[in-house]
Amino acid sequence: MKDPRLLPASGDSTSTLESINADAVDAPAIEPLRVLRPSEVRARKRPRAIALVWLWELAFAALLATPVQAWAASVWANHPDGDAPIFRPGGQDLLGWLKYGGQPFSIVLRATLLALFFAALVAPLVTCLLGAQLATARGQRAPSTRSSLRLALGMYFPLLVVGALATALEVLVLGIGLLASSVVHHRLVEPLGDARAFLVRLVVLAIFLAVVLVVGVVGDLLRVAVVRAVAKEPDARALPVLRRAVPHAAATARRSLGRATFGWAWRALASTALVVVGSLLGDAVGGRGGLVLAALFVAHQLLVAGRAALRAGWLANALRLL
Amino acid sequence: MRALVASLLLAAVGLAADGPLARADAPAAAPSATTPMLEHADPVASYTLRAKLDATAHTVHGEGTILWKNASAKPVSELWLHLYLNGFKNQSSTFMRAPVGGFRGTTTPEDWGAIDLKKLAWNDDDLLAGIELHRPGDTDETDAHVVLPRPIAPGDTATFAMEWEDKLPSVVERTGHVGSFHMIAQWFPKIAKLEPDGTFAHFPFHHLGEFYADYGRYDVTLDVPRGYVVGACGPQVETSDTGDRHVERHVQSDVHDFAWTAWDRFQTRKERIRDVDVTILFPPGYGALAERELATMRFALPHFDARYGKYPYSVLTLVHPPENALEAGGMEYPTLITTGQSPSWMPPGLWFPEAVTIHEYGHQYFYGLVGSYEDRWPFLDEGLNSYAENESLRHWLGPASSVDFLGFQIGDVEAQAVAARHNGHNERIAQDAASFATGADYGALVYSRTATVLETLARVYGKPTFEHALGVYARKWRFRHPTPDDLLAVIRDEIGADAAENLRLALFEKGSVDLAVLQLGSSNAGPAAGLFDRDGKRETVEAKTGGSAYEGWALVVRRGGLRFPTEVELVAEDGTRTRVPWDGQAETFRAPYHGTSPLRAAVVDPDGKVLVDDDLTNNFASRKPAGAPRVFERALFWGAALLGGIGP
Repeated sequence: MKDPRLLPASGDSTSTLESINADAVDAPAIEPLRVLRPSEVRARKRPRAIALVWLWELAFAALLATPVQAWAASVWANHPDGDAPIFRPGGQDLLGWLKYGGQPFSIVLRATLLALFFAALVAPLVTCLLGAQLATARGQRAPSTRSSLRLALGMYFPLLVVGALATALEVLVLGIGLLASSVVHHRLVEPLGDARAFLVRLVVLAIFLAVVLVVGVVGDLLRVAVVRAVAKEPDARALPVLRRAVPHAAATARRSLGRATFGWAWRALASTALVVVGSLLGDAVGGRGGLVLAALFVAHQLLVAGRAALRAGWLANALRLL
Repeated sequence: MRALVASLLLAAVGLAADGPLARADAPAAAPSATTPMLEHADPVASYTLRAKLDATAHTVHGEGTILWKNASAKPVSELWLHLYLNGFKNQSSTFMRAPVGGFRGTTTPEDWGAIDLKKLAWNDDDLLAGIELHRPGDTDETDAHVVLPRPIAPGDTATFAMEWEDKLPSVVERTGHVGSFHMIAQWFPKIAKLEPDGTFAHFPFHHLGEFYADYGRYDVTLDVPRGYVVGACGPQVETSDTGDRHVERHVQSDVHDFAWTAWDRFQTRKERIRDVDVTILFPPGYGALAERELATMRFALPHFDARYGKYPYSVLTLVHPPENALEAGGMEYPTLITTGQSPSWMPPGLWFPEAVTIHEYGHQYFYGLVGSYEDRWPFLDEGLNSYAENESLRHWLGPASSVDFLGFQIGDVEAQAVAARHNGHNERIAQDAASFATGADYGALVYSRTATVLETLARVYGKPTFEHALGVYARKWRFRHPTPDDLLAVIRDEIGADAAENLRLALFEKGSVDLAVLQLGSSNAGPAAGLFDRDGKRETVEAKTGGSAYEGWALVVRRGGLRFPTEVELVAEDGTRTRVPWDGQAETFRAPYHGTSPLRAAVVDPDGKVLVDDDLTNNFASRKPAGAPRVFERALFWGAALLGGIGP
């Protein structure tokens, strides 16, 4: 049923969406929700949305971390140094623990996989929320979380489909790449020798990986096209949304694939660098606890928030390219 | 997924940029080197051979003589000859039919191999006609018996002439061919080791078993197609090219085997390290790996010299087989070792090429120079050498001597200890190779558990003491074929009876240990509370609370028969830590506690010296358990990183 609180936009990028409050004649004047022009889309203007992504990641990471923590605590809580010994170089206590962790490990792994599957279902909703926040505004201000959530719910199914299709295509290309590189290696190992054949194998794999990355970028363009389509017409059904979004994304890909790929790539590299920095920080801290551990937590979460900002920046960039 | 893939790639590249071998120059500590050692072996079996390789048919035509001395105290009227290549002849060989999975050498050859003896003569006596290739009821043809027409007196020598034809198998284990690559080992008729009592140490070739032979001088001429690069035991003393053939002669004394390789694609890297000419033969494209192997040898040669006595040969050849001949890698022969078993490039921090190289080099001592009876007591070689590998890698690379990558810092011996615990109670360590029920048991017990037990001895009784003892063993028994009793005697003499008994129990009687904290408690150190009759009156003494002196104990238990002196660390609530020594002899021990605050926790073996401990997770207990905040924090970060891969 049509939501009377969200009226469809007229189609051009400056069209407006009336909010529920705007419906009420006597209500205080609240500016209606509008779809932003591409040039207006800026991630830095949506710190709350970035914080929301970070919070989602923190919450889900806590869900993922809880079984591991419980497993570790079941053994190491009884050590006077807590779980510090398993961070000692050499891994004597770590390996000794894992040796007796066969059954718990299997349980933890299953719980983690289950949580990841759940996360994969929820993630598109977060993308929708972020997209709604980036693509719309209330005057010059960010839209409310409530109205963004309403838009996000409308985007969820099409984005789930897009995400599933893009992932399936990526996996398929990667699988073909692995197979092709293996065949090439097998064929070339005799005439070229192991090392050169291995190098060719890596090159072939790299080509397919590049294709995977481009598929992902195009998938992201399709996602933001869906976001925009739903923002313009919140009550449209999934199929018409996809029908409008696919040619829009395809046209953008034809026009701006290079810029899009570059826009994704540098952010992906920066994001990866943040993970490496976080890993190195963790190595440096080792098994220390107390304030040092608290500082590490803060630093790690700043890095996680930084990654969320980079991802928001990429989606904003993709929206601008539409 | 893209982010995940990109993250992993960048992380790998980023961490790989960390200087790989910056610690390569760590000097080896020199234990006492005053133990006398033989300069040369008694030459009992010396071979003068000529071999011609047909690289297309993968055959070797061999001929030559064995100058053999009866070094026993009794006349010898028989010979036993090992014809190892017949292990690959058919599925009726002991090698192929042994019902043990796991470990190595378990595949069926694509191309069968065999050795056919064409001539065996002692002066004018033809011995071939009377040769017994297999026992009645057995089909294995790797252990041939020859009755001599007349006995050979103690101290007398005999020269046997022989001619044979090898059909090399496809590489199954250690030897064979793949394409034009040939690794040619166990390839000639070899007289079994003569023991001092006049018997021969002969055995069928089993796929878990290795070798044992008398020392001697090997003078071997190798004839290969021109363009083939040869690697062989001993220095090359002559070389010539005639027509389409290339001929090399290699001569080496004081060794008990001879292996060689020939391939038309080998690349070569040479360097003189100390006074040893080190040659690395490797496939095209493996230059980076060859450099890592060379760097390993720059460390290993002086390190092992200091630990176990000087390497006495002038050459050392490292053969890195091609990837499709992996089973030719990871093996040792006198002055020649095969490495490999890794791809052409591996990130620094994954120290597997270094581990394989140093392990195979270590065999020069525990297989080569002391001449262990590997088939009967495989731990004397593989076990001791695994300890030497662990010790040297840690000395060189630090505690993360196996993996130092992506934040994981795993030590070589710590990794071995996992396997040692896993299979620790299945079988005895000290048994012959063919008696192991599975290859997994063989690997875990002979390599890992022996190394873990020895590492435990080193940590408990002191590393310098233990390393000195092992150095004494390696020097004292150089060229002398020691037995387990000889090892135990050295440990007893150099470390003590307790150490020797622990080692004996661990090796021969499945000795094990599990230290655990069972209970702990403390209370105010005041007068005893309760009802007391004093001077005809009954007095009530109240329990003291809130005092500043506490007494208590921690009850620890030793399960298993290994008894190591250790300590119990007592941790008070105010953070004070005290250590109570425990000789480890009794089955339980109540470590006394005196302090100014209640006892909070206890740890037995707080320094983790008893590496062979079956379960490290019961070595501590606490009255006030805490959480696992470090694990939680790391899991939060990595969980978020993972979600970033599937998130917006």
